[in-house]
Amino acid sequence: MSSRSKARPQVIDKEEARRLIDRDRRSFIKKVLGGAIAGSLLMVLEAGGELLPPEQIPGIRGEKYDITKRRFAFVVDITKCIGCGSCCVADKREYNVPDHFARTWIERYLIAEDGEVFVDSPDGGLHGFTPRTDIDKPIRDAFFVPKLCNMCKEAPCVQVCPVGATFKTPDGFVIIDYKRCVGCAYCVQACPYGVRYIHPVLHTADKCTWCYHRVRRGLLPACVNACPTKARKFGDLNDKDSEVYKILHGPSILTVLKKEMGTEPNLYYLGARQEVI
Amino acid sequence: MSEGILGFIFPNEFHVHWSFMIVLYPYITGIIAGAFIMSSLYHVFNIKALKPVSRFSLIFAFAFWTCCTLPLLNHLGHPERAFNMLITPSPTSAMAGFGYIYGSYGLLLIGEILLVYRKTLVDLYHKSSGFLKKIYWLLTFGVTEVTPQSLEADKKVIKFLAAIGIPWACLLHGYVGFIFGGVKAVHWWFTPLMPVVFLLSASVSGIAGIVLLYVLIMKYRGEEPDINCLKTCVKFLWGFFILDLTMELLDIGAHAYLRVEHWHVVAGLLAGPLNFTFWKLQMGVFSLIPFLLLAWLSLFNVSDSTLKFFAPLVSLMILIQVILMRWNVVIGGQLISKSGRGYTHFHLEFLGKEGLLVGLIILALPLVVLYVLSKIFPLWYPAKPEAQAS
Amino acid sequence: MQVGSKTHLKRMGLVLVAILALVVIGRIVLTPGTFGRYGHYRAGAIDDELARPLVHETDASCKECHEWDASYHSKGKHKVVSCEFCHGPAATHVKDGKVIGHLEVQKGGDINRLCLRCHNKAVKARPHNEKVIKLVLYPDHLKKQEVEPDHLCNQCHLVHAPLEYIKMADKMFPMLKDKEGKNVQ
Repeated sequence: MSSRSKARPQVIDKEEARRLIDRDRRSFIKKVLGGAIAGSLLMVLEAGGELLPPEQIPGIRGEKYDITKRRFAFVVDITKCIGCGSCCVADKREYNVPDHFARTWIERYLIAEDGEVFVDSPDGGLHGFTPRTDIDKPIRDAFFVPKLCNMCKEAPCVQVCPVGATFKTPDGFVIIDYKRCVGCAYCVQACPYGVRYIHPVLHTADKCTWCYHRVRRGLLPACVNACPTKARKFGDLNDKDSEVYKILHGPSILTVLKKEMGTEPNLYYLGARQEVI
Repeated sequence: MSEGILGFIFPNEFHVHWSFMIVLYPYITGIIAGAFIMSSLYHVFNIKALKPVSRFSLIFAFAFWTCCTLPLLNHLGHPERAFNMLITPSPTSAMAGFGYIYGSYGLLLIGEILLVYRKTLVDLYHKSSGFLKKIYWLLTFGVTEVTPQSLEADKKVIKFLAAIGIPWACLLHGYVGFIFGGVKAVHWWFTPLMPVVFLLSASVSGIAGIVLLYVLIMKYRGEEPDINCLKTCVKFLWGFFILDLTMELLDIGAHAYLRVEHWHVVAGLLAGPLNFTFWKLQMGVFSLIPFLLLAWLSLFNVSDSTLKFFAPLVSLMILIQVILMRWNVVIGGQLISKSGRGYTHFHLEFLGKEGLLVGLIILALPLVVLYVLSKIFPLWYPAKPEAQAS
Repeated sequence: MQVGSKTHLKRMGLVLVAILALVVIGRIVLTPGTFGRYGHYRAGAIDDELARPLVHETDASCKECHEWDASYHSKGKHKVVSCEFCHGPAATHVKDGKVIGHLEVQKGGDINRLCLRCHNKAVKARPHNEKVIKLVLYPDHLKKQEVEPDHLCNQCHLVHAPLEYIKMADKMFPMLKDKEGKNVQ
């Protein structure tokens, strides 16, 4: 440890890592950082490393994570969304989302007295919203609707993928195998919510994953982390203290998008008016 | 970016992902299926009048079969991974079966061609030399004698292959229709009638393709097309076209009458972005006129020269009708925003990877293949159809 | 080999069987190892997704070094605004414990634009709920507060804790109490 030699890092297994950590956590992390031990971030993470900020979702890190027994839910509270676009900014940075495509976006709804509905989403809300000047009708209701992947229990995109490149993980996330996707875009057609697109650089399908890589590290999705008003809530339904558990087990009126599609989303909306599609 | 956009669309809908290539794919598949059904009318249903085109339609179908995947491969983001469709086809996906259905259909087609042509191939083996002789040796599987018993055995197998070929052709193309009809998120596609419409328009396009090429090739060779055969073709074309149009209109009519929520979205599509290509072109010019012409050619005793002029003309119009129908289905469906509040815009490039030029080249390639194939599998053998023995 | 009346058919059959065998073998050989462990997909793709590096961390990560800034940010109204939203993601700033780049600090007109992203009342769709967001009309707010029309938001409001100076001023000069009165805090 004392020598700062460029010798090849020593590869150790998980057991060994745990033993070292138990003995001296601080020096273990130093060894990883200094390159004396080769280890992926995940290995350190799984062994309870300190390289990550504190857990935002309790009970994810470490051995207790059983991929087949987890359930997650996402709740969007429309009455709290201020249309700032922080979520879109965070999302674009987290995934380097190509221009003119969106993994998540915000729609602005303006409903006139006569029932006419005006919807817009300039650049998906990435740059926030400026006042609309093109409507000269009195408005009776106005609100923002954040959109993202619905993580359907009966996901049409998973159903139609011809090669098994988009799939539902045992813990309920619909994600993409970028190494097997042929880029046929059938999933893009099949998604009733328009959340999918063909990535112009990768030439594969791409979409919101509820930040699976963050969640499995015990962190909130980037958009949830960035939302200043808690309009976006994400959590573990196995955790009875989580906010989403309480909302789903409370009296609030929750809706899902396009229920008639039979997709059974895991994304719920609080305060969504009937005009929201 | 927002040019041509009507109303509100979702941020990911500015780009239409299924381009002109996906218009060509069901078009070419349809021609294969239609041409095969045409040859089966002779081989299975014994419609003797179609004998002059029975072999030709098999080779014609095979020529298009060889090019059917080109638009798909050109469209895929990762064509090098296309075999994933065969390696790990998803049992739940409507698209996953295509590789196997298409592949097995090709085998069936090859099998039938080799048996139908066996006597000819053996004949040509003895007449040819050098490289060509080796090819014929391979194509006859090294059996260069034809005995009456072997021909009898072949006949049975041919009948069997043609018989399973019909449902297989229906499966191939009805299935392509289902790829669209099974997408519940796109209201313009989501109908159980889609496979039926695809199948019928496939038959129509196959027959029309054969009539057109048959007359053109005969003219090129300075021979007379068989009038009786042409008449029969036209009658079949008319029959299938009536069914095809009925189904196409039934689909729209039913939705228009039911007026459920999504009809209003579809109505906006038909009145707006598709108004020209659907009503004016597909239904107007290229359906109404061929329909009347076909009725006239079928019901009245027209002279041979009139038939020889109008049969290919009406076939060409129907070929255009079918590609317009594919366009209106494939592109039209994608123009509808899933927000239900607007329509996106599709611009067909001329150059571009998936542009018009590449599309036309892909459409022309089967004809090149057909020409090459005809050097090995003579479309009419012996050359004069009157003298044809088998 | 004796050529019979069905020899060619048998040979055709053999070719067909060979093609089918090739397909079956090809499928077995080319199917990825972890395919089918949980379902009809490559389980290894889950690990691929997990290996995706973090770009954003959390406010807690920033606090590790910027304790002083964090201390009043975490007490003010803006504690709900994530550090990384205004300043940029952690991944472009620190890697393996070392600073690799400097994050942006919003200045000048950008400050106003940033504030109005949330607080502009003229964008009608915002919830009119003080508990969620305090909305102001710009530049009306400047007039009401009797400050110069070219004042930037951060000349009165400390961006990390917007009411910090206001409260301080109220305490020091009670007679100059905010014109919007009860709207503050």
